[in-house]
Amino acid sequence: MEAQPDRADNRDDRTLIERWLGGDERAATAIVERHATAIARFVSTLGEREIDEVVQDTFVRAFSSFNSFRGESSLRTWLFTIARRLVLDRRRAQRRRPATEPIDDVELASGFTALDSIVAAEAEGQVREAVERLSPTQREVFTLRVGEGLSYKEIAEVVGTTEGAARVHYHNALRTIKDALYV
Amino acid sequence: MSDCSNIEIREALPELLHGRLDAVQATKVREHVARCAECAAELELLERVQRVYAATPAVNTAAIVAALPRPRTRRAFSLGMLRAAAAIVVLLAGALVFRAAMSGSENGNNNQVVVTPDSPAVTVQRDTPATFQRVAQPRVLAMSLSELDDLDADEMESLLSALERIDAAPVAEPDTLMGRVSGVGT
Repeated sequence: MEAQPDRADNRDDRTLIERWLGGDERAATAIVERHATAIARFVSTLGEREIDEVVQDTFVRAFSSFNSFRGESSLRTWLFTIARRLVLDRRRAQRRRPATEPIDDVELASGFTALDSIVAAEAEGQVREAVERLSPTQREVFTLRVGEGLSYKEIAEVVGTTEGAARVHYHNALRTIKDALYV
Repeated sequence: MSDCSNIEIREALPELLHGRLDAVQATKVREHVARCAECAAELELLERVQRVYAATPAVNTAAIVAALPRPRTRRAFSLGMLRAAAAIVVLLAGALVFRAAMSGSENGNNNQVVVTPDSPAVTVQRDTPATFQRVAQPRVLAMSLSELDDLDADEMESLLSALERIDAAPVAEPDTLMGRVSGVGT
């Protein structure tokens, strides 16, 4: 069963990009408002603490490269790819830096630490804990599939894998969460 | 919690969640979910996960926009390109004027008579020291104005006749604005 791509959304994004490239700075606000929350959501699931900083850097980098954006993927997929690369770069930099306090990779990979105070409902807390048990790649794929509604093809572009591998990661993640919630 | 064996429907559940199915596909999936306990439970789980994701803290879009680079407007011609084009035009025009001036100065005095062997001849009067030469034939005999005094009546008549014919002859180059054909002895 083939999902219908959000062609209208993609067309709107391209129009906004053209407007911004033509000098309309208000188009920048529209682009950021359309995608910032989704990027923040994705970044938080990658375990990044400085969500605002990464989201801002993502947009700065994207807007600096709009002249080279060919539109082969959707803008949101492209933004996810940039955000993911930024998070990985930050992790590498933190590993190289002589830390005053040890950096716990497991803690960094933990997706919803920043959301503790927001997600109060117990049921949702259980889901959150179940998602935290996923491997980093499973969590990325699951977030993009369930949280953002991306197709396997789009997920493969963001994560840098194949559609088949993305599909396997999704079903493994779903099985892990079911096991955690319904044992 | 077991999984439904209909993998096609299960694959479509996240798409249904995000409204990415067309009406026919969505109806088909909903009808299956209505009679399948496994798929109903899975869809409910996905909805719970989606609510957790939706609880992500809001970002400060104004701060993000303020940090963005300014758009580099795309113009057909930048100011620098226009300046360069203007400089090239000025240089070319200067070179053409210089070439015309040099060509005129190489061709002799202010006033001269150009006579071909078949007698088409013309007097060119110069308005400036360096102008142009009008040539109708390849072989040219030139004489100064003072030499006209040595011509007898027949030779003068022949020269005037040739001048009348040469007016109809095609010119080798376009006229310049710096010289004009006036006729013999003027």
